[in-house]
Amino acid sequence: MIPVNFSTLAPAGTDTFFAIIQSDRNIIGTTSPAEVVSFVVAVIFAYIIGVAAAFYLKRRFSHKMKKDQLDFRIKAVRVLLVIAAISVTIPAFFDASLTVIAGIFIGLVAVFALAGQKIITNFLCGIAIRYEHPFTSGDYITAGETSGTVVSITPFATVVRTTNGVSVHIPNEKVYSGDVSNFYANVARRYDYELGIRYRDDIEQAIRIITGMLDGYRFVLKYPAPEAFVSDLADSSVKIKIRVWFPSAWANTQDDISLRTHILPEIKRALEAAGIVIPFPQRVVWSGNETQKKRQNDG
Amino acid sequence: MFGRYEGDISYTDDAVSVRLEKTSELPRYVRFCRGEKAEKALPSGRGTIVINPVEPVNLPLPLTRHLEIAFLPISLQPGASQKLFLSFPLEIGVFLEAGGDVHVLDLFSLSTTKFSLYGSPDAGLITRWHTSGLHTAQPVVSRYQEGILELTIRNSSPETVDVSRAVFDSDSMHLFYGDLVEMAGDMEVYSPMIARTTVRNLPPRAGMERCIELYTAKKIPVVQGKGFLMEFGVA
Repeated sequence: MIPVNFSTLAPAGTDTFFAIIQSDRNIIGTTSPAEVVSFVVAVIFAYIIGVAAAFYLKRRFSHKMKKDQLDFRIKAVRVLLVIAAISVTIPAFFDASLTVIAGIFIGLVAVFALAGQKIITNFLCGIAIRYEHPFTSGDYITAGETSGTVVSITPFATVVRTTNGVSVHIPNEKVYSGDVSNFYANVARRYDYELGIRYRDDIEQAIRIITGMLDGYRFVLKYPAPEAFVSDLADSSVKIKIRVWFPSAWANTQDDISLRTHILPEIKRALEAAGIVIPFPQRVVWSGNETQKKRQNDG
Repeated sequence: MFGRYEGDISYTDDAVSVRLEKTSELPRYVRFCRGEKAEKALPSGRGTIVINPVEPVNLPLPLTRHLEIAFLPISLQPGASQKLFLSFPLEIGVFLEAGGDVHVLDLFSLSTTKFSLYGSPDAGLITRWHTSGLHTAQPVVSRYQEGILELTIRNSSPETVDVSRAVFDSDSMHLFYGDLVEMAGDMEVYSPMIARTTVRNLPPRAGMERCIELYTAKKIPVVQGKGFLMEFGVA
């Protein structure tokens, strides 16, 4: 692997170094100096190729892929290159066949598996999440009690940034085995609102005003069209339920409070402008004499 | 307002004002539209400023790249073909062209925006929605608010099909301007559920100027010529 006359090209001070490399004397077990140098050169070469490959992949695919997906692929390429370099050069260290190396590797895996079951489980769940794609980076999810935007899916944890800017690492096992809601999975999301009007108000007019107002709101989808209907005849008011569809890509950038503050004040203003009132909770209480008088009047 | 400007820019009407202000320091691009102001300083040795319509799917936020035009249902018999004139909303792009590069300075629109869902929430797509009248000759439209789409619909299916909407992919849109903004497209109906729409890469009439597309200015690589396959119905 090292040319015989290589040392003649090198500076005079390195003569001893090349003499050691070219010697047949073993330095680690049965491994010769030349084999050690081959190993080091191969790993460095694989590293340099990996850096070049990463640069190329970033330039070529950064606008086509999500950052974490691209990073994962780049990491995979770099790790594979280093593994390939090691696989080619390391057998010489042991003067052993690949079968023996594989045996040692499996043994090590078994030791690690026993020592760190949780870690292995998280790792496997990370692979499953990447394979099944229940979400990708940038999606807004709820996993267990945590809601937020997925920043990255590492081999052992899913990193989520909550709406108040806190970064939460959820072990992949918890994410994979628990319920996950992905708010970006579908292109449109429905929001429901409910309000009450007085019994004496015109229901049809109120519904007309509400749907008309929603039609003029640009982020409320034209289709599926917004719906407003009487959902309950409650104690103090006639309840009207409103169903509105938004583009997920927009709705997910708003928190629930913003979605309400966008729509509900406008509806209130539009209804009040038409003389329709959203009543306070109320109860009619009759005293004893009044009840008797009422009975007489009714009778 | 549309055109290429080497020197001054000054356009004002009831709805929009675009001008170049010469200050003691750097020249400044200023635009007012529907109560909204945009302002940008330009380099002193600036290149050419180009103002032209762009694919109408970018404002107020780039939520979609598809334009859906709804119109009065028209029944087409098997093998029939019909040329229609529809309107579409306009968005106006302002570009700085220098040293072989095109940079987006500003985007604005005089038309109102509405979004819709074409298909189902899980498999469909969000579209920029526009309702158009159905015309067999060029309709009268507001020059800076709406453009005209010359659409030829062909029914290749073995049954009569009602068509009341067309969805276009902005990646394959080619707009041209003259007195009005126009594009010409085709819609091949394969069944009541499936159709393909394409926009021709040719001016509908002679003497029209080609618009700089936004995907070109933003250097977004797109595959052109395929058009858009409508898979969720044409009515």
